[in-house]
Amino acid sequence: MTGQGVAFAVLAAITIISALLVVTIKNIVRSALFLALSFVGVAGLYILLNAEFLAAVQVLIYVGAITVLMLFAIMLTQQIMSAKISQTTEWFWLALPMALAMLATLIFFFAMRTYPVNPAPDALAVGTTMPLAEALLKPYLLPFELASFILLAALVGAIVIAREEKPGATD
Amino acid sequence: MPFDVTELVIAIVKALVVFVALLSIVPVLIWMERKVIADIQIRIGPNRAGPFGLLQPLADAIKLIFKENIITQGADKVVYFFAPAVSMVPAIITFAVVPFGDTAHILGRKVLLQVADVNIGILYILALSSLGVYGIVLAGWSSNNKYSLLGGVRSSAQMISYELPLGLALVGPVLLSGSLSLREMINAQGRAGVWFIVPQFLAFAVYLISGFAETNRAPFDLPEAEQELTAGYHTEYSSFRFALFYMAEYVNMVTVGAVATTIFLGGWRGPFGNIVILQPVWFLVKLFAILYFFIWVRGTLPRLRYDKLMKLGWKVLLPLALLNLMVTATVKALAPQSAIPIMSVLSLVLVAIGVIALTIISARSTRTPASGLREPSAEGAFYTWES
Amino acid sequence: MTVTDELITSESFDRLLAEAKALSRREEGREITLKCEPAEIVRLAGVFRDDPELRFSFLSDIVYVDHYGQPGNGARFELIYRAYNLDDYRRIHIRVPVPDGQSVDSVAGIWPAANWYEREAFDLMGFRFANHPDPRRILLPSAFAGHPLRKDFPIGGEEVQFSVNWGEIEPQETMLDQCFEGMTWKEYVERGDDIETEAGASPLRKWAEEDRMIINMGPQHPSTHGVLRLALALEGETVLDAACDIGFLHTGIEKSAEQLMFQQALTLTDRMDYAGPLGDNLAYVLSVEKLLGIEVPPRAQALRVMLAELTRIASHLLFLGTHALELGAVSVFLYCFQDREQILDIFELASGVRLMTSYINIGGLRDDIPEGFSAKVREFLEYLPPKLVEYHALLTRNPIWLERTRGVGVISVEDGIRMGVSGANIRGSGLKWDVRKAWPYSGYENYDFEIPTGSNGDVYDRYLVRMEEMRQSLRIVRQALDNLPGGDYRISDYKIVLPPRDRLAVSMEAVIHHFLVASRGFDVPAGDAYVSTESARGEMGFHVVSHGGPKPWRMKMRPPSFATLQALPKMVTGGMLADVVATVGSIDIILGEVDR
Repeated sequence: MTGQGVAFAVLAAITIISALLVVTIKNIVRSALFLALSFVGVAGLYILLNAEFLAAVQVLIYVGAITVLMLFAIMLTQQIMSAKISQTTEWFWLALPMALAMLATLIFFFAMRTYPVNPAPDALAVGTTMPLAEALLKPYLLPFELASFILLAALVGAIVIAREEKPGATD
Repeated sequence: MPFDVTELVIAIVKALVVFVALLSIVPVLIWMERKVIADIQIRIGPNRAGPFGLLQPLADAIKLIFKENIITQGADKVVYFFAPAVSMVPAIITFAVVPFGDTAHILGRKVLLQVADVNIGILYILALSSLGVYGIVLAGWSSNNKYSLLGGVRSSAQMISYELPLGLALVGPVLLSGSLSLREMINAQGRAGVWFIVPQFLAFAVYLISGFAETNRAPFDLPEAEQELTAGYHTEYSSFRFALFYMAEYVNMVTVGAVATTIFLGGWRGPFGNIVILQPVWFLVKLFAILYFFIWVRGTLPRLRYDKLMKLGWKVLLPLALLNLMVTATVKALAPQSAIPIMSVLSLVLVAIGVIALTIISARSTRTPASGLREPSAEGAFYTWES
Repeated sequence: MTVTDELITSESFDRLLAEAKALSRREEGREITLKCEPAEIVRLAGVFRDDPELRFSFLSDIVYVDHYGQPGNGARFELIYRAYNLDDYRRIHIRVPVPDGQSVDSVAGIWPAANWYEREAFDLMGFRFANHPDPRRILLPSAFAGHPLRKDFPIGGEEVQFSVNWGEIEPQETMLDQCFEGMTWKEYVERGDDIETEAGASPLRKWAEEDRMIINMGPQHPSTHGVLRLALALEGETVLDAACDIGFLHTGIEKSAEQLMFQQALTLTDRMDYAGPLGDNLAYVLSVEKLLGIEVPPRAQALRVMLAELTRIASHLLFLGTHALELGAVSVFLYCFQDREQILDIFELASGVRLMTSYINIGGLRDDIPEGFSAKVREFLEYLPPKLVEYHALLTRNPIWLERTRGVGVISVEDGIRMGVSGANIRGSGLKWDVRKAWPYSGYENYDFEIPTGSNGDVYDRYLVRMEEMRQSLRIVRQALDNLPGGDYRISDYKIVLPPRDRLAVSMEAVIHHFLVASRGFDVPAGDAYVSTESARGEMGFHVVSHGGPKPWRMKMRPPSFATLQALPKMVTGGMLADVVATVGSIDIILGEVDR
């Protein structure tokens, strides 16, 4: 096994185990922490694929901002931090086969064809930033803008929903 | 890539040198801070341990290490145990991409005076510095202390809010230099013949202010505001774990200062800059100038309030950073070749306007009593300091 | 001046009230005394507060006296309500004789300030107040047995239980029954009271039950000015409610004073307001001198004023330093301490002591000022003004300072009066009331100075008012120094003050006087007296009761911080956690004075 192979195995294991712990562990703060670890694992995988830009952005946004925001929200919630919350409901046994079926389907379709793995030979020299930017702002401009628009709508929606509670609560 | 043992050795040596240098800057910085603050406050400062009290940080460290390591009842032990390390590690490894000199020729080999020249250097720094908040948040949560928790909450909100202006402020220089690599940015400043502080003054100001917040330094030291939260997130920590937090704060300070030096102050460039041995010296001189500014501010300003801090971040710094980004991008798009001179002129105009506006504002506010006090004293106005 | 010795009862209410009103219209009626029976006090208080002719809206204090074993008093206890009309500075004392075991209706509904005053009267003397909104102990721990200011409370020799020795000392059986519900002290302490320990005070009980975050600020907290405990109910960082818990520094000064001779009790007053000891000295001596009916020489008057004003400056400098420190401006703290040192040097020069000077004595001063004193004070008069300019430059226009202080910890004049707030705190809200002008003492009427007032009642205005008061105090000191009269520094009645040292060698009479004054003290005529003064923190005064003899029968002080602290929850509710720190700093409380 090459060094890359070992690294991949370790990172994949970190990612998957952390992700599993996120949905099973009872302490919600630790759950959020494993989420962060899972994201870090993904960032590691990006680095293995020579996508440093993506890796850095993954850490910056998912680990450094989103998960911290979650922690922030958790800490502001009364009595939730010390509480031991069971993450499984009575639907667990129904959900498990569904999830497994989904996994099987995914594996099946990914196994159907081989994806060409050809890291650009000059990726290390010039970096992936430039091609990424080119791709986002030229061929994929419309999806990119659409995604931003949807995110903006979600943001506005969240604010509207959050504001509804206000008049009753304070002032 | 062929595997080269020498390269590996060089990399390890560089990493070690930077690591040790960084850890030795910390006591110097602590000593400097205590001395400078003492000077500001008409005190003498440390003067017992060693000449000029130079060994004081060492004495403090020894004292701290031999203290009892307290774990509070009900603390989340694992998290409590790891939090200081989580705080310290990103602070140190951020430094890996900061260049402190050009290429040196040692034993016939070209050695970059930088641990790793990552082509996305700035993103690397931002990503890792965004991890530093974990140490604080986790320490605050795991201590099972309400003051610590409030410190953690404050810290997480503060860090998220100030990462945005901090990151956006750096985009301006990135646009001007056309690279995310710190080394390339220094070269761009060399080619332009002007440090980016001139064309990007606004970005520099926003970066520095956000840097205060990112490092939890006064006047943004809310997560550890002693007068409000006793010591905030590290209230319950003692012994070496406390020392780790303490050091992390200073390492973070050094990192923020080093990034500012690199991106806005030309990094290792300076007179006789082609002499390689002088380059780290110039770097250090600039770095310590910025660190001195950090300390100076701490000795002068009161602390902001939490909500005002958020307001400053979101309503002032973020728009300013966006404005700077927009103007820079426009100028760069319209005149790619002469972007730096144009931006320099613009920022000089901005500084001039700022100075004039401040003068007018302060002149006007001294004319009208600040709080509308009803009874001026017999000797004239309340506000005698005008004269 | 007493309206009548007749007791106000339900029958004589209207008649005597009309008399009192008639008297209060006249000049000599600026200070009147009434006697009222317990059942009528609420009605009488209501009339006195609301009647447009009377408007006694400010309850200064409730004095409680135990006349145990004294002939000539119908009832064992006495309550004296002291209220002010702050429009034209009239005072009224309503004396209420209370027989043992009788409860009195609470006047907290009329004067909210009475809440804490009555709690104190209950705590220390066992008065029961009917309809009191918050009938708990205030200074002593809730587990304390008995009411120590009662004259029949045993003193001396009791072992005190601390957590270290609770197993060794068994409390008396009666105490167990009375206080610990039959449990041992250890059981009692270990059981604890969740709400009591967490929320600290019953006003927060409802928040604790709602699962809000209750946070204890103090008694060991860097910003509570000593050992104040604030229990705060928080929503995020917004303060939903606050409750003060005091008494951690209670040392029983009032009880101790009853065991000491008048001139000895003076030393206790230093220990109350340790940031402004000379102001408390002065307040105490003035009351005793009023009882004695003596007039101190002009030189002593001028020096007293000078020292009191220097004390005020020292106290305000301490305020400024700690206030700035609490808002994060650490440097200002050290600057102010440096300046304060100059004043302490002056005190040391005069009295040999820097902090607990006890320099102002009954009958004048302890010693004459030494050579070089005037020069030193003049030096200080030149030294401080540029420093004040510097502090203004550092803080007053500082945007961060403005953000932290303006609109924070607001209290209106009306609320302040209701809560008994006095001094610079109420002046910051805009009430132009300064005891030095309203009821001049020690010759303050002869000095030219202004009363600075704010208008917003926020932290910033209180800060500005104190900054300006320092300048005004400098003016007074300068005037006192310029016109310093010669002559004696104390009275020459050697039955009250010690005869001069050199006389002892030549005069047998002087030796006798010296012996008597030093060993037995001097008799003070029976009666009671109260003189209010303007200490650095507000209206300060000692209600001294004497039944003859060399020891005060009762010494009830009116600590301004005590009343001010009562208004703190009102100021901080709705603000942020950081504002609590700013507000506590801005009202400039001294816990030594609050807890006594």
